[in-house]
Amino acid sequence: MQALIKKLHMYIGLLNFSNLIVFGIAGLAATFQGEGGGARYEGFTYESFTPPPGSTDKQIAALVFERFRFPLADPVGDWAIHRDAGGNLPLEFWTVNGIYTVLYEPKQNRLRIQTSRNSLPSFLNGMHTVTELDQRDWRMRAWAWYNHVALWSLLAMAISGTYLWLASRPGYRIAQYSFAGGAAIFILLYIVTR
Amino acid sequence: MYRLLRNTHLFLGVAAFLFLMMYGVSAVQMAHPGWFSMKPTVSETRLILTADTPDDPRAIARALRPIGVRGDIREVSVSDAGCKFEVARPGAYYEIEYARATREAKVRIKANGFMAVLNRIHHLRGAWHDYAPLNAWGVMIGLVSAGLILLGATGIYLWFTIHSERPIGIVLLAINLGICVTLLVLIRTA
Repeated sequence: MQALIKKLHMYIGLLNFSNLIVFGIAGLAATFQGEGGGARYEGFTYESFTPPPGSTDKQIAALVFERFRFPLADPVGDWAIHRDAGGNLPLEFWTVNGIYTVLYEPKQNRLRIQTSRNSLPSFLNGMHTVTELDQRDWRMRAWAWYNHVALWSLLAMAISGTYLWLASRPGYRIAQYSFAGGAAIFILLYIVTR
Repeated sequence: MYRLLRNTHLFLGVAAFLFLMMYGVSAVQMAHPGWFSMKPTVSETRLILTADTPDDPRAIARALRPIGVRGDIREVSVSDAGCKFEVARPGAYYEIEYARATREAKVRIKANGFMAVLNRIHHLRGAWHDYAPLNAWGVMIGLVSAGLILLGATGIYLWFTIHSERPIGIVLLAINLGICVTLLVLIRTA
C-alpha cells in the first residue's frame, strides 16, 4: 500500500510539476506586488467610431468587441456596462496578459484605447486562477482543464505526502514539530480571522 | 545531500499541509461554485456610541470591537451627516453607517461560513493590511508559496535518485512540461 501511494505521489507530482511552480510563483507575486501591481500601461490610441443610431450600451459594447476581437478577451459582462459621469462608456476587456481599456466618447464619435501588459509574475498569477472550463479560446480552455487536474492533484499530493510520513516515519520528531507548528499557526490565524 | 533534501521535502510538506489543503479545497470551491453554499448569515444591530468616541471611522471601528467588528477598514465615505465604511476579514464583513447627530452606528453583519472563509483566505495577499492577523496570513502565504516551489524542486531531485523510476518519470515530466510550457507560451504571446 505504502509503495503504491509513494508511486502515485511521485507520478502526480511529476505530471503537475509546472502547475505547482505556477501556483508558487502566483502566491509570491500576490505577496510582493500591490493591488494592480505588475502591469505596464501603454499610451492611448484613438479610432473613430459611430454606432448605429439608437444603439443601446450593450449593443455598443458588442460592436466594440466584434471590431477589435482582442486576443483571449471575452465580451464585457452586462453588469459592467455603465456610462461614466461624463456620459462616456468605459469598457474593460480583461485577459491574463493585461487589460484592453476602451472608452467610447460619443461627443467625439471615437474610441480611446489603452492597453496594459501584465508582468510575467502577474501573468502567472492570472493563469493560476483559470479554472472555468467554458473558455472561448482553445488555449485557455486547455489550460483550464490542466489547472483543474492540478488543483485536485495538489490535494492528492498533500494527503498522500502526509500519509507517507505517517506510514514511514511517524516518530520523527522534527517532522512532528513541523506539522504541529504549521497546523498551530493555521488554526490560530483561522480562529482569529474567521 | 539526499538526506537533507528528503528531510526538507518532508518538513516543508507537513508544515504546509493545512495551508495546502486550504488552497486546494478553496480552489475546488472556486472551480465548482455550485457545489457549496456561500451565502453569508446576515444580521443587523444598532449601537449608540459614547460621547468621547471621535467621529473618525477608525475610532468608530475600535468602539465597535466589543460586538466583534474586526478587520480591514475600507470604502470610507465621510459626509456632514456622518460616515459610511466597511470592515472586512475572512470570517465577516461589516457595513457601518454612522450618524453624527444621534451618534448611532448601524452595523450590518455578514458572517461567512467555513467554505467562504477559506475562499477569502485564499484571496488574502501582502502585508499592508490595517488588521495585523491579515498581515500574518499574507506572510504565511508568501512562505507557503516559496515552500511549494521548494517542494517541487526537492521532489524532482528525490524522484531522480530512484533509478528504476526515471524512465516513466521522464515521460510524465515531459508530458507536463510539453503541455504546460507550450500553453503558457502560446497564451503569453497571443
